Amino acid sequence: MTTMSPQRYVPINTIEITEKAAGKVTKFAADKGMEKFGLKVAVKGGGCSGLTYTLDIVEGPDADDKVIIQHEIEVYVPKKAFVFLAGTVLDFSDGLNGKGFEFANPNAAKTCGCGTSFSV
Amino acid sequence: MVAVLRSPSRCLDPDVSARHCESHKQLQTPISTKADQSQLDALENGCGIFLWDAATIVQHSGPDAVDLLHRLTTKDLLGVGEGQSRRTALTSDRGRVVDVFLMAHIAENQLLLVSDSPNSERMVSAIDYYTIIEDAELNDLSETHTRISLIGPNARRTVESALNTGLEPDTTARIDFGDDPVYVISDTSRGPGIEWIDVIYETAIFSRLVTAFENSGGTAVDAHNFELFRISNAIPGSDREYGEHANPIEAGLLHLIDWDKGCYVGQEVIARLDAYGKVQRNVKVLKSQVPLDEGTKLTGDSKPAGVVTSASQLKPKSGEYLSLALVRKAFLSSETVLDADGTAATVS
Repeated sequence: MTTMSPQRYVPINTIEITEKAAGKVTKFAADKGMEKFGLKVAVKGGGCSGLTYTLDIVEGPDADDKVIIQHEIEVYVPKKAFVFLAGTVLDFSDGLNGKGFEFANPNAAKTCGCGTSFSV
Repeated sequence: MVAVLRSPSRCLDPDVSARHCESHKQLQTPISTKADQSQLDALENGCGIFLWDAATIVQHSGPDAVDLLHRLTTKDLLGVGEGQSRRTALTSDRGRVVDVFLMAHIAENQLLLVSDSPNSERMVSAIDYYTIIEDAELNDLSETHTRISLIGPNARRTVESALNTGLEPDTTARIDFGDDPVYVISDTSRGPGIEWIDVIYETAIFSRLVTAFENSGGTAVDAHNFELFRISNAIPGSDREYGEHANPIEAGLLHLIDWDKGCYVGQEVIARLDAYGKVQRNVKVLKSQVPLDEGTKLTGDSKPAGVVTSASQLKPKSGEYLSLALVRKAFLSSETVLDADGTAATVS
């Protein structure tokens, strides 16, 4: 199992999904009865710090998505969002104090208290 | 003593400028230092017509436009349906005011964003920055369109008569004025009891439209008397009371914050300011025997007490000049006398 510290980032030409996060995505997709799926990771405007992470389980990539395959999961990132996400590691934190999916984003200069939005 | 109120180049397009300047002298007439009581009466008791020399007018279109603005700004906008409008504040991630604008939902997936700021680039660039995966597009109409505000208890009647139509209260409507579309937008956010209607149209029909409003009982108001009205009603102004130097609470925009709407840009900072009582200043009307100057520092008990943000140079009927200031918390009580660079200014 891959563990992640907040300081850990990956090369800026990709984003990384940890094995634990990939496992959770696979479970959510199975719960939805999806056999063919991928994880769409994007950024949209809004949230306390201005930019908010979004995660969706989808059937396939859109035309302008960058496709990254890790732990047998296809990760789709819209090219416009990739500039904000390059080098990010996506992990999953469970347990009583867990926060669910967590982003370690080297581009984030500031994040809000709950961690769902950031500014660059 | 005298001032020309409008730049002739912005009056209207070159083809009709001579006609306009002749027939709407009151919009350009030099003024004295006394307030024009007829103009103030129109704003308070009738219908004043104020033509904005420059204002931000932006078309925002696309299926994600409302949702994006809802996520970025202080007001809950998801419930603003077609034919409705709401004023909201766009704040930075530091909780400072970037701009304040009226979002008018004019048609399906079509919005008009109207702000008092002459710098349209500020709103456009801020919204554009946050438009990433959203299907929404901005089109700056500020150079091709003009804004008139009709203010006063007879504003709606004047618009109805001039445009030969009926208007529901608090409505946004597209109305054909001859062959030209005119957008009529109610703004209920300016202050208790203030009826305010914004009219947006292509600049080319300016002269015809103003004449129609005047013939329907409206009175043209110049910039100085409008400013006096704004100050006397403590209506915050762009780059005066609000702007990058102020948060929306201290700038008199508390009514534009929906506390239970969830996240927007700057929400965490603004919520913290409110929750911990960290707001240090408030907008107050000051009275003085001589006119103050904008930017004048205020002191009270030899301590910094605030800054003058808007100052009318007109003497109203009451005989006391009026200004707006961001006044520090310790000096907010009514009748507190502050020093404005040697002039006594009383908090009202």
